[in-house]
Amino acid sequence: MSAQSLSIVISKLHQKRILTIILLVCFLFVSIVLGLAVGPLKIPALNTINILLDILNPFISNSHDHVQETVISSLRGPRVVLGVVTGAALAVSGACFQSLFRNPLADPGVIGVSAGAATAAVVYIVLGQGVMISLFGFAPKYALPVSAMLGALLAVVVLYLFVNRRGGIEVATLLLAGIALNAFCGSVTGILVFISDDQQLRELTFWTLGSLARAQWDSVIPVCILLIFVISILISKGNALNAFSLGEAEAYHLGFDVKRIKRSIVIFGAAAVGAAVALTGIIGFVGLVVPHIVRLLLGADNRYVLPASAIAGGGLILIADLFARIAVQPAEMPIGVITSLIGAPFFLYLLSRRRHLGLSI
Amino acid sequence: MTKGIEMGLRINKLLIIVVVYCLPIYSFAAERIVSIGGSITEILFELELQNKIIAVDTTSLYPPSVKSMQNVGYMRALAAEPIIALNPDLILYQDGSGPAETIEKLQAAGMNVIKISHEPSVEGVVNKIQEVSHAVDKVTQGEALVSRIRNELVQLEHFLSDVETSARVMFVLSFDESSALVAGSETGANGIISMAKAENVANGFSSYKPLGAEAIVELAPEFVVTTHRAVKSIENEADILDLPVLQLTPAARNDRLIVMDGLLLLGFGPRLATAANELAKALYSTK
Repeated sequence: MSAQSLSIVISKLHQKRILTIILLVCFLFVSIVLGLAVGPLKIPALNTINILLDILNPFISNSHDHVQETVISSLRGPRVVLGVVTGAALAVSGACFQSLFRNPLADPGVIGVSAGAATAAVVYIVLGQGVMISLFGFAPKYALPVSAMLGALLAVVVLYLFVNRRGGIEVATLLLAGIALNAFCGSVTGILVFISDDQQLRELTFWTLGSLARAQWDSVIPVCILLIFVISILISKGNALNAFSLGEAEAYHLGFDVKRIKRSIVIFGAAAVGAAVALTGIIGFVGLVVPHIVRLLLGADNRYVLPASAIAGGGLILIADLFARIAVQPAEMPIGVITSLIGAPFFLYLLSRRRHLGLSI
Repeated sequence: MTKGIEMGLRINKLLIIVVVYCLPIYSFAAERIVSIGGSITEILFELELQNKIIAVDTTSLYPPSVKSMQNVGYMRALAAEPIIALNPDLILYQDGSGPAETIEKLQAAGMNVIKISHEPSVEGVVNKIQEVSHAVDKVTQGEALVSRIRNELVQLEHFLSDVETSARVMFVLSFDESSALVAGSETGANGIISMAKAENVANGFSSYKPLGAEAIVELAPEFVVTTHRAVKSIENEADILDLPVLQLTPAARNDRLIVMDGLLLLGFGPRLATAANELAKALYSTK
């Protein structure tokens, strides 16, 4: 093959990737519009557009139907924003963990970070809330997401202490420690389920099945800012992760500071998951399936896989949430049920079509 | 634009005047009620407002005709937008429904949301009836219902007046071979047991706990009370006392099993006095 024809092939590949990413952006845009426009309350499309235009433009304020405006601006709005950033965070950290550990099964759930966050939330609901009320006379609203985040962080610190003994992160030990951590968190949750009352039990289900229903601007905005920051850092590691897929020694010889990169991916990945889980509970399968779908579309180059995973993850969560909201009207389903219900069979279908998932081990 | 606001204000003023003027004649009677909490729904039926209910929650199971109504899901896992979409003019919810965010969102959307207190006791039921009847503007009917319940309670007291030693009762919510889910203190079952002048043997812990056979032998209940639903899976009701988990109790020795309707027994709604009467008769008529 001549040098010229090779460069044509490469530029064609590049074009195909750009086109795919553009299509994914369109998918995300459509799902945001659907998320804002569709729901149990039927709002005429024209009203939706008018209300949205007013929200985007602070200089115009027309009067709208109060109920319709509230539903779009403070029910669907925060929900859609939370969905996009959560989906992006889960998918990107999943993609990063898969590449870092060179394991197609790695996802935030596998190394115990999601479980750590959810368990901390559960501990707070069953034990902490009462303590807070007896100390301050009320339970602060932020205490729950904050404890979930602390739980994720604690899980990471524990993992890190175990895995970082000889100056580097041992991938195999990390996965095994993750399994132990998951089991431990599972039994802590089990104990708490035993001593919880009916109301607490319901909140526990929320945390273990996931839901976007609790989104409110005052908690979504800080988490959103944090996640955007963390996600951009993770996305910027694409080149380094490409080198990692050759092997750690190879990455080192290519001039990457292996230790530092491993550390920052584990910490920022955990932060992303912790912040996402803090508001939504555990939403399964997104971190696992989205990167694989993206790799099937784009190939394994992490410079493309990471941003594309962020976009696709956000869109996919919104579509799942749409199902969650309208499937069993006038009640609502937990979104984690939907993501697993759609995610698992789709994943099997992908497996049957192509044994090799574009990720070499 | 300021003109528009001025005009709006003027119209608002006019509206307020009209509304205030009309208040003595027209007081609010809800036409589209969402009822969240089984006992609230029962009270609305007692107040003959069943035609005004547009949706209930999954804890609303009595009277049986509620099962054909729209259902907004479990009272502690409510979603805001679907309820808003039903366009209700009154949402009554039992204290403890939620999540809190959903209630806040309903309020933010301008829904007429009223919290009804929930306390598993006689006074709690009276308060509940009064609060509901105020909210739906049926105060007289509400008072009539309260005095009917009080009458039934006087009858109960009369019936119980010659009971000297209270029966030792264990309430079981569900069974399997090796354990039983037993009601401790701070449960509806505990409340109804004490109303029937009996002693809950499992008052050493709060809420419902699964107990094994040994713990149950230790409690030594004279009566086992359970619900029709709990015994549904077992062909012959009497066989329950032969389950390993219960067979060593005094209740099993003397064949004292009381099976009642769980909704009646634990509902703490307008049928409270009926439930307490029924339980008391089952406990003490045999003596």
